[in-house]
Amino acid sequence: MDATIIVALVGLCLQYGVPAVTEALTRWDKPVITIEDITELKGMIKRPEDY
Amino acid sequence: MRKIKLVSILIIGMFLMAACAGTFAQNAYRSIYISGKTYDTSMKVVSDLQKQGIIDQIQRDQINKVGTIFYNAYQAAVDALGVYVNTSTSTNEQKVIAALNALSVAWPEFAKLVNTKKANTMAPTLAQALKEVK
Repeated sequence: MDATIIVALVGLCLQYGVPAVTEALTRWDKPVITIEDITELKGMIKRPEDY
Repeated sequence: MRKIKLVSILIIGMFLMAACAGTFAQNAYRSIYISGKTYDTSMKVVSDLQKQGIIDQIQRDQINKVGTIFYNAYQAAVDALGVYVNTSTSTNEQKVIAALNALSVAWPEFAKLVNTKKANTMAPTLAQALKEVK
């Protein structure tokens, strides 16, 4: 991993908190995409009028 | 303000994503996830603005109309990825790519409309978001 990315990650952790950064990172560290992941994606957003 | 920060995190996430190698399914999943989170956060901002009286019903209807196009493109991309995950055929891979293209086409119009109501809520395009971070 490039040093610039590491510095950016540390900066993000300091600014936004470790949990927010950790959650974002785990999303693209998934080794295998499962049907459960797809189902989760389906329900992640609502129709505009439901907001 | 917190929501705008989340969008910033997501934008930077896209940059990091681009720097990380992955399988086709992983990359498609990441793209769809980031798009969905950005849409979700933006619609919550829009809802808050309407509650504050900054957006009226006519403006909200406009956003909902364009948001529906984005929503449908997102769901089509998720469905295409679901089929690909089950089959892993090149035909279905092409369908995922086409669905992701449709999603990236739907993004700018939605982002433009949201940003006219509250500046810098969304990156105007994925490509521009990457340039800004670099």
